[in-house]
Order: sequence, then structure tokens, then C-alpha cells
Amino acid sequence: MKISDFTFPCCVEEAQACMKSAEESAFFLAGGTSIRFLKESDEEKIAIDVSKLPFVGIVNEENAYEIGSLTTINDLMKYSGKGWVLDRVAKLVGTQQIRNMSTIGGNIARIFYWSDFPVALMALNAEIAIKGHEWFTVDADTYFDKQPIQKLINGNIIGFIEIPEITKGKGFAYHKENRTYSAFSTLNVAVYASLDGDEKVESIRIVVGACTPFPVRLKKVEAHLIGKKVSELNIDKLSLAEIDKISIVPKEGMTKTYCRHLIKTKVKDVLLEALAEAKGDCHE
Amino acid sequence: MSNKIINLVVNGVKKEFSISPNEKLLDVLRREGYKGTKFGCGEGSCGACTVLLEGKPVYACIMYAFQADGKALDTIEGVGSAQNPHKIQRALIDQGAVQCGFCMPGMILSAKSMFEENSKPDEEFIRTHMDGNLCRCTGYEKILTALENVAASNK
Repeated sequence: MKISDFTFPCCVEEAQACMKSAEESAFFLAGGTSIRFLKESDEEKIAIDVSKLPFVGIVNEENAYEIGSLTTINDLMKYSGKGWVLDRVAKLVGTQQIRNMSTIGGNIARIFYWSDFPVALMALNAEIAIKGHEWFTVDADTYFDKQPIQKLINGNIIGFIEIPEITKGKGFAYHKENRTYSAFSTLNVAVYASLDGDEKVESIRIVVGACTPFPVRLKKVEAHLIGKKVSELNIDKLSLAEIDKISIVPKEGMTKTYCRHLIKTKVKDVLLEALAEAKGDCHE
Repeated sequence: MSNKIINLVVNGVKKEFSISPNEKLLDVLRREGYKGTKFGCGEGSCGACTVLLEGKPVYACIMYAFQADGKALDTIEGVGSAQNPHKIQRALIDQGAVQCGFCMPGMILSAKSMFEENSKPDEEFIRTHMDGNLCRCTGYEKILTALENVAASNK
């Protein structure tokens, strides 16, 4: 792809009008760090640079965080607030320079295997607010069930992402496997759990990605854990047979067998970490 | 693909550049004489092309020039001089932290932005902030020591 022209719309309506008038020959550009990975071709496109749109910042309201889609990864990393957890994901993304350029919206507009946030946001049951003709909201399971860019057609643009605040009785953990520091993911695992007053698992979401085409929830494992008292759980003996059936796209020379083994090991680690946080009283 | 004009403030001086929409910021800077900004990997990994955009380090090799339109940009040409080096440059020289020197423009700019954010960073802060700049000569220890020396000398 070659950029033949560029424009800086100042509002969403202007950005959408630019997209409509250009039809197929334009694209929205946020941080732009992933463009170099798109298939090389001589196709010319107009870049609609959305960096001036008002989708920046993090707001905490009613036990939830609303994140502007143009908030940079570095701002996510440096933000601190009660029950804020995306800093744990952001600090594992690329390098300082990449984190200064990349935005959370750009990271989830298209799923590449190195996209760190889809797995975390799916575990957190995030809601993605998209501006089309009108605003509409998509839950994470629906948003990440196939390539999200398919939902971002006809000038649809991500405005905000909403995630829960991690309050008492809830826990979140995220692990990223990569060969070297700042390298792309070979495996991402995220777990978000909440416990009731008796420390029984009330709800849980376990998500695996990077070595799968799209993020995958381990729904059978989740169902097995619901209602179980954390202190009585033996994570080592947890059945993870569901992992043998998920579609694997190995990276970095790993075999599918090794990938599945790694997922099983990591899921246990991440589960333990999330449940420990949910059990503890470390949210102040 | 016709050229367009972008306006930048480079090292505090207003500049107007004619660019092709498909040009990377690194190519424009080097063509315009800012050759301290190095072409290393060309894929946003090594940090030799690091410049400060609105005070924050970015990779000029993967950024389109138009993305910098209207913004303030710092390159190594704006930091110190041979006769009067910046204190970061002085510390790196004193520590013997510079070998081939190719990574140094990016390294120095990343360090400069770090000290502007935090005048007394600890080791972890330095390592996190400098994680996007690779050096294939030194093994980093002397660079780290030099930056710790700058931190110690800051009030």
C-alpha cells in the first residue's frame, strides 16, 4: 500500500465524510505502527489521520473505566487509578517509542498476533463503543469473534472502550509469552474472575490468544470453575482438555503440541494469579 | 502522488517541508540535513532513528512525515555541541559508554525525554524508558551507569 494523500479531520462527522467520499481508497490512521506489516502493494490509499478526534483519555465512572480509543499505550501504562489494570498489559507492549505512537483503538481495530489488548479486553468483558451513523456498543465476545476491521466499515470508527474497575472480590491477571523482551507475543493469556462472599467463583473469563487466529475463551473450564470455593480448588488437577480442541497457529518455530502444552501451563499460572488477587484485599 | 507542505518546529525553529504523502519522517529529516537521525533497522526496532515528537520519543523510520505536521520535533542536532556537550553527552563520554556511536543520537534523545519526565529516575525507570534503544557494542552497562550518574547529579 502506498499513501497517495492525507487529511486531518477535526471531528468524527468530517472523518466519516472523508471516508465516504473516498469509498474504498481510504483508511483511518491512528498511531500507524502496524502499517508496515500490511501486504506490500502499489495500491494507493488516502490516509485519514484521526489523531485530532476527541477520543483521548481515561475516565473513571461508576466502577468502570471509559478509555478513548486514541489514548496511547504509554498513557495506559502511566495511568494509575483504583482498580486500574490495563497498565499491566501496556507495559508489556513493544518499546517506549512504540507505546508513544500506538493507540488502544489501533491495537484492536485489526487483530494481529502481536495485538496485546484483544485478549485482555475480552477477558475483562469490555464494551466497545463505535460511531457509525449512530453510536452503538459491541460486547467483547462479539467484537473479537472475527477480524474486527469487518465491523469498522462504511466509516464506522471506534470511540471508546469500557472496562470494569477491579474492586474487592475481583481479580485480573495477564501473561505474555515472547522470545525476547519487546518481541511480539507467542502466547497471551488473561483471566478475570470475581468471587462471592464465601470466596466461591461467581464469574470467570479465561481467554487465550496470539497463537490462535482470534482470542478464544475456555468456556468449559470457566463453567467447571463456577461455584467452586477457591480454597478447595486444585488448579494442578484442573482438566484443560478443551485446549486440545482449539485452533492453533504456532509462532516462532513452535509446534502445535508445544503451544498446547504452554497454554495449559500458562492458563494455570494466570488463573492462580487472578484468583489470588480476587481473594486478597489489595485493591485500595 | 503530488507533494504536500507540512509545517514543523524542528529544534525550536519553524520549518516548512515539501513531502510526498508516502515518505517516512526519517527520510525527510535526513534529506533536509538532519543526518544525526540514523537509519538503523527501518522497522521500528533498534531506536537509531529516535526523535522527540512533542517531547516524546518515537521511531522516525516507521512514522509518516505527515503525522508530524504541526508538531514540535527534537533531533540530536538540537542537543549540545562538540564544544559544549549536553550533560547526558558529557556523562556518556566520561563513562566511556560510546563505542561506534551509531545508536547514540537515539539513545541521547530517549534519555533527554526521560530526564524531562523524571529528573531522578531509578534503575528500573531508566531500563523501562530506554527499552526501545539497542546498542550492539557496549552491553548497556556503561550507558546505564552514565545515566545513573546524570540522575545522581540532578537536584
